[in-house]
Amino acid sequence: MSCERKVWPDPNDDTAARAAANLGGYPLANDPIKQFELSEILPLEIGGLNLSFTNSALFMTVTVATTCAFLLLSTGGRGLIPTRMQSLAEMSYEFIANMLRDAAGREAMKFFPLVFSLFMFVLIANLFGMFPYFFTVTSHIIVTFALALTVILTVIIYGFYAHGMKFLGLFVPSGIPGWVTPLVVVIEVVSFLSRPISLSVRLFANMLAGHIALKVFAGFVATLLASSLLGILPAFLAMFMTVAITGLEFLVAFLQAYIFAILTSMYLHDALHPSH
Amino acid sequence: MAGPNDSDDPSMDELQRRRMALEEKIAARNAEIDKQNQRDERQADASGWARGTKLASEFVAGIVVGAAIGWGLDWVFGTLPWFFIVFLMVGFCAGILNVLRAEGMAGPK
Repeated sequence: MSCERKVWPDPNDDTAARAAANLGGYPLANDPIKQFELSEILPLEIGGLNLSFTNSALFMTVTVATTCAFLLLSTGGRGLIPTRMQSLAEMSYEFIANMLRDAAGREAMKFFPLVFSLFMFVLIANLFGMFPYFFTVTSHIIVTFALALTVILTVIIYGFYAHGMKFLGLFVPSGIPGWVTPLVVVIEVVSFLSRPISLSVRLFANMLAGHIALKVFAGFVATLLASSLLGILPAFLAMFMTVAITGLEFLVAFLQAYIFAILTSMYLHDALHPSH
Repeated sequence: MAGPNDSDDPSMDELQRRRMALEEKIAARNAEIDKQNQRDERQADASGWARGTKLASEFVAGIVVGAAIGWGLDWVFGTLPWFFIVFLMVGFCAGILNVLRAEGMAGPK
């Protein structure tokens, strides 16, 4: 048993020691929640507000910087025959442009910068989260909620700006008997207000659940290997699951960014054509 | 086609040949369709989790928002359980509406 313990890689050992110290000495190999903890890199307090530069802020900055660098550098050459990177940038542009045109119509292209920025930010942040020891920005609900709030405020403000009071027609479906109208309007309003919640909860829950599952199965590998010789076979199974979930997580990272972007387009459709 | 057995019906042989060719083509086509179906199924499995969380979040969001509005109105008017109960029901309806709309079973406004 004691000789098995030497199989542990060093980083795990370190995590285990720190986790054990945090949990009152309980010997836990891997705390699956620890990866979501915020830590202050540059402590800063202005007027009683904690405005520290955290690891979350760092990764948001890195995400934005990577996106900008990718798009600027890859399209800088503007070759008639695109290089691989330029082709990738053009493909992502056309992907979102087509999606927005299909979902919200041609006039929705004025919102293209918003939708494209949201898509790239969520996608790159999700993919950065797949690196070991990196922080996943989108696994915090306040981040995804802020993004969803941006979308819904854009819809509301543009809706009233472009259509005035006619925008409220969004909540009054046509072709229903008069006496149920108040009830239906209330339900429609609640349904409309629930959009930012479902938009943000979906992204956050997917990233959180995926990363916890990944960490739990990876933790099994170390724990089982350390337990006894009998643990070796289950450890291999857990290792297989970890690899499989990693693959699934890459899919989820892309899929969630796509769902976020397409729902944004559908909500923008309501702002542009509220009478439907 | 000038075989020894085209004496009783000259077109019979030709028809037989065509039938064989058609059967071969159909078999090849079916295999292709099967492969496509399998691929679609695998894709559906992979995005099933995404679809599930989508519907779950739509439903829960409706209830949460309804409950929050009810609680807020109660807090303003000091009528604690009543608005909460009514808007919880309304939120339930909104959640169902969200799910139906997300699945394309109810028209988008």
